[in-house]
Amino acid sequence: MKNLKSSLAAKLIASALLVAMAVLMLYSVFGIGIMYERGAYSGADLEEVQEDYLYPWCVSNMYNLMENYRHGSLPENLDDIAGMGFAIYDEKDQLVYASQGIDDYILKTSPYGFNYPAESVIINNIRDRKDVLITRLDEDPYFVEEPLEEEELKEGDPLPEAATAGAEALPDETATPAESAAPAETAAPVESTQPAETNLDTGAPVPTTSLEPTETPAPTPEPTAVPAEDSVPDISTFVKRYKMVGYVLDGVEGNGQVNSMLRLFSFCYGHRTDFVWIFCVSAVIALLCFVFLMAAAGHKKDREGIQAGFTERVPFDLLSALFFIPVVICVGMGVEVSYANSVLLQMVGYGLAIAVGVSLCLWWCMSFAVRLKMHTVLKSCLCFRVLAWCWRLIKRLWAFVGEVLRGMRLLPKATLVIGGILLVEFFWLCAFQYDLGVTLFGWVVERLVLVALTLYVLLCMKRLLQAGKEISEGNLDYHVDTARMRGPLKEHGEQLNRITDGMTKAVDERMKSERFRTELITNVSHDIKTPLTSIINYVDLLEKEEIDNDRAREYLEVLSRQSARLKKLIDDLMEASKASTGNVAVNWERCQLNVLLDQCAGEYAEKLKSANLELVLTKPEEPVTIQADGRHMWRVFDNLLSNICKYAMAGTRVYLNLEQVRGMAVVTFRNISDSQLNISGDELMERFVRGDRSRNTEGSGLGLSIARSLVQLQKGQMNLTVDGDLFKVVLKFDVTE
Amino acid sequence: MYNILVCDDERDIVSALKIYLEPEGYRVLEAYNGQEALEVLSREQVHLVLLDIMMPKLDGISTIARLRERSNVPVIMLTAKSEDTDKVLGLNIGADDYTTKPFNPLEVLARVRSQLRRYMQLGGGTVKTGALVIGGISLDDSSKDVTVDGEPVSLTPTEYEILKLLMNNPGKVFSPREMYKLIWKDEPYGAESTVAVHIRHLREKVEINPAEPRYIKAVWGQGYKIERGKEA
Repeated sequence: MKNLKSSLAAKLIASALLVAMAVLMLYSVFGIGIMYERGAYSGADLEEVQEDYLYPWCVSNMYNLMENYRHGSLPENLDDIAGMGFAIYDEKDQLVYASQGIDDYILKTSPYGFNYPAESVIINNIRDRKDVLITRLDEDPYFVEEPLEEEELKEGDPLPEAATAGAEALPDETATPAESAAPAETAAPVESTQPAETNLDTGAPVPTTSLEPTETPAPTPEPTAVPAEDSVPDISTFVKRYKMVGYVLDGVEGNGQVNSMLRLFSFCYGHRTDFVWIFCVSAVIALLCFVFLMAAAGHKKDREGIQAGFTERVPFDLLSALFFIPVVICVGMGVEVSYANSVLLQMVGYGLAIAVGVSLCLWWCMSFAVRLKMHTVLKSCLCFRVLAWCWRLIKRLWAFVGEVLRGMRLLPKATLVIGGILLVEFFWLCAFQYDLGVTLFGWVVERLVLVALTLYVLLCMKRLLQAGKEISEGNLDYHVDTARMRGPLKEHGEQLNRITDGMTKAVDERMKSERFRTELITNVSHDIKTPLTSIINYVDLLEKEEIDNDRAREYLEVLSRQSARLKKLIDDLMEASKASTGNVAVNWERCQLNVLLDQCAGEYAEKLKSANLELVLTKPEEPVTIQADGRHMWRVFDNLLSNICKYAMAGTRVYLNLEQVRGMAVVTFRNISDSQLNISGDELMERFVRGDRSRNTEGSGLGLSIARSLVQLQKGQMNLTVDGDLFKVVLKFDVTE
Repeated sequence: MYNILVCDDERDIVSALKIYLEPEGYRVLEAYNGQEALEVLSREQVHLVLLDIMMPKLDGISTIARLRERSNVPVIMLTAKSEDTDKVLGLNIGADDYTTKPFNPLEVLARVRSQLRRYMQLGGGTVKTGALVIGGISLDDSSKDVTVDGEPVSLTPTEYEILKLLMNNPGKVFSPREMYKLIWKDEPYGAESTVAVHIRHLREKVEINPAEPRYIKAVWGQGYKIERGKEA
């Protein structure tokens, strides 16, 4: 199938076949049409079919003849219609004239009447020929001329009665002329003169003319006498009626068309069923060929896919126009051929026209199919290309204008826009200064547009304001919807969004790193604790061994002390990291600072004593209550007091003071430092920071840091001041009722 | 001769504990993860378990949970995790006591002794009538004898009064001022911290680790109380 599709020969054959089938279809349609029109498919026999064709042909010829008579032509001069003869009868049904050859006929028409107006008779016949007056006489509506009859009635002419009588008589008489025509035969001219004369004698009111046909009786003396001057006024009423019968002659030489038509009819009649078959078969074949050609269009030998051919280079609309013109010419040709008087010529002409037309249409269809398959129907159109080009041009222009505007700074841009608006306004006013209505209309439109634009800008600005407010309040999830904003507003909105994005990211990363650090410290601490446990235990075991060496014992003592310190350091480190990142749960409860201070003082009584320090505790009588976690508070006091025990100068007093100041519970620790403090209070609270001189004493240096973190965790404040040797810690908490 | 199962993934720690425990007359069984501990428990008669929490294969918490399905042997957790939540979780799931790493060997020994006494000697209702008992502390008001896990403890009269007050009202928090009034029968006038000092002395005598008391607890900023013992 694929090979067949891509074979050029197959395509050519199919095309030829299709064209041939089209021609065949045309011919069979003609045949079917002719036969159907004449009733061949509804039971009519060949003769009826032929008659059906001949009768109107004959009638139309006769009409021409009658018209010619009315205008004064002589019957002999008209007796040259190929294949047809005629006879004329007067009102009395007497044969007036018989053309040659009516003795051998195959079809006779009904008689048709006509009148011969007197004036033209006078002019053409009576004056010149003085012989024939023919009047129409027929009831056939096709030829009845009402006005004439009315005229006759007005003039009170008896003729109408005669005419109607004659007309009534006609149906009966139709048969008789046919019979009488046969005997009339060659003697027609002679006979016709006599009835004409009798006619004149009996019925005609005016005794002027003899209805002498052109021949022998023409030079009678009477007519010369008739056109005497006195008879002229009566001529207007002088109207005679005649009837005419046509005969289709048989076997007469030279009547080619009728004969060939008859032959055609008998041929068509004989093959009237074959035509239907031929039409159907050729239609099917043509359809198949068409489908095949459409499917095969674009396939070429040894090539994959659809290939554009030579035709496809022409733009589609141009091609359609190019093909349309010859097709129109073909149709014109067909129409022109239909005027030809030879049936054969007509048929050949039609065939040629249809063949050329079908070929062209086929070519166009194949090209269309190829384009459809390649999806280039629209693209290959010239109009489309032109439009696309225009569109590109407009887009480029627009982009250029946009580029220019974008490249400008905001201020000049705004100036330009405002200037433009003012300019348009100005020209509008100038142009329509005498027409207030138009001026006002323009003004209203302009203002409406401006108000809408202003509202839009205001709306955008409101959104941006809202966004700014939200962001400043720390709502970093807020996002400005810039989808409907334009220009600088959009830019601003996007910048705001970027700020929130950046900040969110920074905050996230900060949180992550904090968490990570805490986790790291916790995990490392756990990992360090395991080996440390072994160290402590084995040092302890070693100490229990009997060792004589004093130095070894001393070393062991150092190991024991340092491992204990390491343990404390690790614990503090973990606690500090957790407290500083807020990774500690707080159990909020009511906590009386008076009681806490007493408890702490009791716990540290002995330690302070051993450090040779005197604790001076002052507190109000009424309880001071705060919201805090008692255990964390103890840790804070524990750290501060142990700090004091470590670093206060021996023999000094330690002041521990609690008071309530303006809704704040204030706890103050004051002591005199043993060694000189050469750093600030804030630095002291930083992790791992201690006064230089105290480096060699025990402690991790994290105590103050942990204390401050825990205080902050409980929503309090811790301030540390160093004033000379005075070391002072102030804790502040909100008092609850 | 008690069998003590020591379970820790760190072999050095296991052997150190063995060195401490064996001179005290205990037989030490060793295990290096939860799985092994469970195997030993099913195989041998064990009187006490020292169990690490962070171990490969089966961690300490899961091991306790599995162990408690079939045995009520005392379990002391050894843990490097010092977070409260870990302790609470361990105790809730069935551990009897805990000690944090790095531990003091003497403290561990004391806790081991305490748990064994509770488990082997003081199990069930072997309590004298008229005696107040909270956990391992027993206070006989008629003989003025106080024992902790069966060991007699000598207290000063004030300490005895404080302990009696607290044990008579387990779970109740006494502020130092109240206690002073009740025990010294006097207005404190700024002497409340004396109570704290006595509490501290009392804890040193009754508790194994006074810094992490099991019985006499300070409710910081409010006062002191004795816990209503779980098993009492």
